Amino acid sequence: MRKEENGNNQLMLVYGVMAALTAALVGAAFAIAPERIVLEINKSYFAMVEVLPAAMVSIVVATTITALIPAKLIAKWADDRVRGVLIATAAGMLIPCEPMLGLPVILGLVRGGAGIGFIVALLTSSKLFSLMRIPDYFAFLDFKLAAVFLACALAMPFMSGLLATAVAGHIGWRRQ
Amino acid sequence: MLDYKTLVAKEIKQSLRLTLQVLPLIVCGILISAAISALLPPGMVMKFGGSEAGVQGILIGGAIGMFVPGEPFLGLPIAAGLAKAGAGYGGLVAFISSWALFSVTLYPAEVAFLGWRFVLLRSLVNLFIPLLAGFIAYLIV
Repeated sequence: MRKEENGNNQLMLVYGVMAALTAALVGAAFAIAPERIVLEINKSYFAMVEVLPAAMVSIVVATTITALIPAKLIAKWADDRVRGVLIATAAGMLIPCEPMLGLPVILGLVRGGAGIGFIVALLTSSKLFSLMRIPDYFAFLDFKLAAVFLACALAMPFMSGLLATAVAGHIGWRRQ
Repeated sequence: MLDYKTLVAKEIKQSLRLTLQVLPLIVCGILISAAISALLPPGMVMKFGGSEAGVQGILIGGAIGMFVPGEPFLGLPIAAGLAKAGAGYGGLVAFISSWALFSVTLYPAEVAFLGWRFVLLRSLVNLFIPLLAGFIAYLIV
């Protein structure tokens, strides 16, 4: 009961901070660039209408599927050792980089007992190398810049996964 | 014997609760993204980020990447513009890495799903990435 109360208090704090930040930034934008903010909010509204239904379905499907994967299997493959972090680095490419689609899948693995090194490598890899994102790199950037970026960042998810294991393997990082 | 029907029903109920919890944060994230786009037009970012090269360019690229909204149609055209403005590869790679990993507009959803402790930890262990990736690009290109 106390754990749930703590979780609710933390959520309220996050709501409060985000509401204050949103009010400050939107207020500043209305004061400095009123025409641009109206235009940007209109654009965002259409983006939200497009993404939200897919996101809701994604949350339900991803958390349900991951709940059906036996925890033992997740613990076996999604651990903090070198093999687990390597698997996460490769698997991150398959996780959508759109937060509302990818994060529910990652949350499911967290709840299934995946280690911190695995989750950090997975999330970092999906942010940098998601298969959803790679075509954008080549579409917007010139070929050489996209290739240099991918080559230079290739080992980073693996390194940050190992770093997370080393510095935080024993810290209580899971959401209450 | 595991009762899958009960398990799925429980998960769907929890998922719907989670959806309702994250919704206000997603709306905040979208409004923050709109406000930053209005306050920092791409031209201004390019003027600032395209002027430095070398190690200083890596630091500047890494810093400004965080303030550009996370949508690919905003961050990547800015990177392309910085390249045209003459930014070095080190700064460009630092900018793209920083934008992909730390864009402020992506944080509300991450906090909502994974909690602030994880997000703080993930951010700290990712801090080296824009600098190291940028430095490697600076050395090899």
